[in-house]
Amino acid sequence: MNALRRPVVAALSAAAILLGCTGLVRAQASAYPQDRVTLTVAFAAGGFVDSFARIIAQELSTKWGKAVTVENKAGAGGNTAASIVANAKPDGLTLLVTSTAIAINETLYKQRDYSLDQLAPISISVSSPETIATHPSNPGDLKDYLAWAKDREITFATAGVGSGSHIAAEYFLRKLAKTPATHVPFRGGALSVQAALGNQVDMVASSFGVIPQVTEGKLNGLAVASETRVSAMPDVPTYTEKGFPFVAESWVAVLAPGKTPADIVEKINTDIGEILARKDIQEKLIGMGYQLHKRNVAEVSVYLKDEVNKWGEMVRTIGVTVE
Amino acid sequence: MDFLQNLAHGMGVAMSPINVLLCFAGCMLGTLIGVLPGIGPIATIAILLPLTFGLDPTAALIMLAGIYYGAQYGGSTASILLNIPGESSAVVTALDGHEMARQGRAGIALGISAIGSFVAGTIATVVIAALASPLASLALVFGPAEYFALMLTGLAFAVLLARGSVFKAIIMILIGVLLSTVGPDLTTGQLRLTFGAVWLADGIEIALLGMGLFGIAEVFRSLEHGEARQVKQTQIGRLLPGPDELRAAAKPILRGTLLGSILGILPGNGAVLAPYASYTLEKKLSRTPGRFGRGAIEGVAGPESANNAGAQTSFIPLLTLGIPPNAVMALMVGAMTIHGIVPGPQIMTKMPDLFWGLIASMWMGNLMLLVINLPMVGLWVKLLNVPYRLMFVGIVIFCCIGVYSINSEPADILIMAALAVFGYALSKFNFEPAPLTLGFVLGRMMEENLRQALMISRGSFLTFVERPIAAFFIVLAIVMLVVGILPSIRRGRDEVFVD
Repeated sequence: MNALRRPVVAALSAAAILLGCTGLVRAQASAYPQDRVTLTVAFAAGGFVDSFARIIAQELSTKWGKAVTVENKAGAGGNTAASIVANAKPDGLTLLVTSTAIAINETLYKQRDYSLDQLAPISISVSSPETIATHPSNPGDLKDYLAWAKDREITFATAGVGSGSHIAAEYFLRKLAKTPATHVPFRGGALSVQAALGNQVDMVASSFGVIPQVTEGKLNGLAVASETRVSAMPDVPTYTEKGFPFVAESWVAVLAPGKTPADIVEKINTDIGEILARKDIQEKLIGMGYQLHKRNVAEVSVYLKDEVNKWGEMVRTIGVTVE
Repeated sequence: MDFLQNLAHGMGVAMSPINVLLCFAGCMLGTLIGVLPGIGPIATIAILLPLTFGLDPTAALIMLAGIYYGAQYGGSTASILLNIPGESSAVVTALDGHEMARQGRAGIALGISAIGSFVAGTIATVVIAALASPLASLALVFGPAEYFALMLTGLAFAVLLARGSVFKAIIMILIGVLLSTVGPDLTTGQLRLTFGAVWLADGIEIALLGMGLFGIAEVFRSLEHGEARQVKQTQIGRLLPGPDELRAAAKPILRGTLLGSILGILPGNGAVLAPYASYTLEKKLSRTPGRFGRGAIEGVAGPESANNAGAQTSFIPLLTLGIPPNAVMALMVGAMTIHGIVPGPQIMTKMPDLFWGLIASMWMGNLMLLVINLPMVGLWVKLLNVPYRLMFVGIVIFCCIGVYSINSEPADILIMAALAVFGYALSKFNFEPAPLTLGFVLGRMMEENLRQALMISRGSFLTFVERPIAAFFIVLAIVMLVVGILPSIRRGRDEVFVD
């Protein structure tokens, strides 16, 4: 199947090499990986998950002395890529890079052609809290905002039905704040932020996507759903500070096919951890609005289970499903 | 003139040897991949992204941007010479451009599209430099209601775009709209019209439509005539446009640039409308609209300029608001974040080198593309001398590779094959595929914006009348439909009387 794609990739890579901008590849004696590693990204190139995958692909490739390529297999809310990796050979050469969607889809989708048991979690090290923001002409404090919203049935924009932003915002508004609101889904987070910038909608729910707008004062951040404030926008309070104990974070996970040997899973976890411990990488990720977490394989596995339950509970509360 | 100073500063950044080299590399690579059907700028930028890690971010973005507008140039080459439009903008160029090539005027069509694109690129660069911030805030006024109304006008265009029967054009548009609804529904997430097939779950790619309905269907049609086609191809004629042609194309180029510059700024990929809008405008303004579709140079010059201008001004929402208006721009966001730059309103003030350097490099890139492309016209035209029995194999293979490279999905090749058979049948029954593509492009955007507009207005249709910009476009659409349909009804009646 890859036979057809290879000439294209090869031709383009060759062209790039001719440009003289190849990275230095260091050889390293180690059993894994023996061959090229593919990171199958569950979303289109250019997004939150993709950027992270590309950063670690580059660093892993230097570390391992083998090519680490990123392949985007967007589709079915991330299920397409998950199913490909779930059914791939468990040799650690095909890895899945996905988002909170992998936890949400356990409850959201009635039908999937893989199950989470077929995947071995390796790493969940970066996250960005779900954030709500509004146009500066509306009340900028969460309490005032909710009082203002009470009698006007506000509209809120998100990246789409069943996205983490949609579920978290609807759960907060309906269950915690008891404020009726109309959800307006957009095709992707960027367009939902734009709708809020133009005051077309009363609120936007997004994760790291609103950070540049909030820091520039084009939008007012109402609350972030993390334990602590986000360093990229320190003026935005957490939900907890505002009296709503609510944490919902959008994260990036790396997983392998379920039967992948434990030592390979451990090695990848350690190597990603070492990369993320580097100052330059940390600065880059924190600047983009990510929060960093150090977790070993066992912790990742527990965290993922908790997240499946937590998001599942929210999905059931707001009553959304996808066939 | 503050912006001239800034632009001069940007020129200084863009003219550094490494940036010039990378800009050239990007343009060259973009042209090449643009010529190959289906291998679009998205795949190329995604593949090359990791290789820009080692570069300074400004240099990396200059190269990636070069690939993007280089691909716009290259795409028109494939549509003019071989009628293989790899994306929706090139569909319009193919209408008259390929017709010109068949008449032995391929060089002129290629030349005018290069010159038109250069003029458009130059003007668009100045527009971005001078007006980026005010234009970006203006674009924010465009919400779903305005956008829906604008697209309704676009569909009215499509009716006018039709060469023959208006009735047939409307059927084609509706089929296009129907095809665009395949895939997940935006407001509920439910799958529509996929019949349980996983490979339809994310809808149909526009490239499949372009290559199937136009490219491969054209191969079928040509094979029907055997080698007889060769005779036409050997009469190549003058290579580059002469003074008369330049004069005929001048105004369409300027009008196309204006339309493209405006539409490119709109959210949600307004740039795709630009070539269609320009084509219709030129056809309406022409004293001899009958020449359109039969090799009218205005039909190449206008849309090509509109396309290039739109491609460039679509950088405005990205650079000033941090909002990518289309998939390629979303990739540019990815490229920026990987380099540790958060795209947003602060870029212009905090990173003037990057902002102005990138803008200045756009003009430089357009100049390079002109220099790359004009001498290549002769080479491309010679390609037409390759015996067709050899060439069609190449076309089919490249279309298959191109389609496969989009999603690595074998079923996509089968969909393209089915669309090719469908396209061939359409031409046998004298249906035009161009309105179908427009219906396809607009259908999904229109439906989604309509539903968003109604959600925001809590279900009130009055939103389309109360909001002045939306009301303006709705009225315009109605006027155009009336103007477009009335004469043909009258003509229809005349024909009845003749019988």
